[in-house]
Amino acid sequence: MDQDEQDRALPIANVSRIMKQILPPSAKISKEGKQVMQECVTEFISFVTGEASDKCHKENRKTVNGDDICWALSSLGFDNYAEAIGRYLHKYRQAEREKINHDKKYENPHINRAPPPPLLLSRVTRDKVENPPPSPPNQSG
Amino acid sequence: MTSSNSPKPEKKITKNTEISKTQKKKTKNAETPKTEKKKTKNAETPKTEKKKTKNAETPKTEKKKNAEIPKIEKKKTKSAEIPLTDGKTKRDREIAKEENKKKTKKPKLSNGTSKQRDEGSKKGVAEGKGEEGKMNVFPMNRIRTMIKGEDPDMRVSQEALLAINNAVEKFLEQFSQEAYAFCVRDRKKCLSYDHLAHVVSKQRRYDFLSDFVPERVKAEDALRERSAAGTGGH
Repeated sequence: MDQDEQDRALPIANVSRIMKQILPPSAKISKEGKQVMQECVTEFISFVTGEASDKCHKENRKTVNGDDICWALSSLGFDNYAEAIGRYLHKYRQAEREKINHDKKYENPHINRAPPPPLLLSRVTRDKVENPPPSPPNQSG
Repeated sequence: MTSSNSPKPEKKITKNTEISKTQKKKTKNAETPKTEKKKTKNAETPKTEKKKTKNAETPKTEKKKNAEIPKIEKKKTKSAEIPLTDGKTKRDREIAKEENKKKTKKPKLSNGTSKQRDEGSKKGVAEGKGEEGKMNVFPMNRIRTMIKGEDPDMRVSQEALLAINNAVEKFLEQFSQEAYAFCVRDRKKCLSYDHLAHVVSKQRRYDFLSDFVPERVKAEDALRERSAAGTGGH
C-alpha cells in the first residue's frame, strides 16, 4: 500500500528543492507545508490530465499530446503556463527534427540511439509528400 | 513285534522334526539377506530421490523468487486500476482524499523511501538523456504512472509528459511565491499550511485545491455557523 501511494505522488524531495530554489534563502518551509504542496502538485497533474483526456475522448483519439495539455491549461485558467509550454514544445519539436535530419544525413546506427516518436515521422512524411506538387497534364495540350 | 514297531515311528518323528527345523533355518537364512538387500535398495532409492528433489528444488526456489517480483508488480497494477476504473470522477476524488489522509498519517516512511527512489530515478534519467535529463525536474516514469492511474486506456506521448513536467514546475514556483508573500505579511520565517490555504482561498484559479487545502477555522466559529444555519432552517 505504501508503495502504491508513493507511486501516485511526486517525490517530495524534488518538490521541496524547487520551492527552495524559487524562494529567498532566508525562507524556511515547514514539513507540513512540503507535504501539502506535494499533494497540491499531485492534484494539479490529475486536474490537467483529466481535462486533456476528456477532450481526446470527445474527439475519439487515444493519445494525449502536448497540444492537448496546452489547451487544457488555458481552459482551466493557467493561460501563462499554456503560452510558455507552447513555446517550449515548439523548440522541442525543432530539436527533434534536427536530430532526425542529422541521423538521416550520416546514416550512422550508433547515433540513432533515441528513435523519434511516430507522430513526428508521420508529419515529416506528410510534409515531403506535400512538397512536390503534381504537374497538370493540360500544359502539354 | 510291538517293541520292534515302537522305535521306528519315533525315529521317523524325530527325522521329520529335524527336516522341518532345517527348512525353517534355511528359509530364515534366505529371507534375511533378501530383506537386507531390499533394505539397501529402499535406502538407496530414497537417497537418489532426495538428491533429485534437492536438485529440483533449487531451481524451483529460484523460479519462485524470480516469479515473485512480477507478481507483486501485477498486484500493484491491478490494485491501482480496479478502483479507478470502477469509480467516476467524484469517486476518484474521494479515493484521492482518502489516500491523502493516509499519506498524512505516515510521513516518515514516505520521506525516506521517496528520497531513495529519487536518487535511482535521477541517475537513470541522467544516464539516458545526458544534459536533457537534467532539464526535467520530476521523474518521467512517475508522471506517466500517475496519468495511467487517472485513465488507464489513455495513451500519453513524450511531448505531453514534457509539457506536464514543465507545467508542474511553473505551478509549484508560482504557488510557492504567492504563499511566501502571505508568509512575509504575517512576519514569519517559516512557510506553513496556513499560508498555502490562504492562497487557495484567495485566488480562483486554485479552486480545484479547495477540497484538499481548506482554511483552518476555530471550533467556536464552526459551531456558530452551524447554529446560524440551524436557526435559518427552522
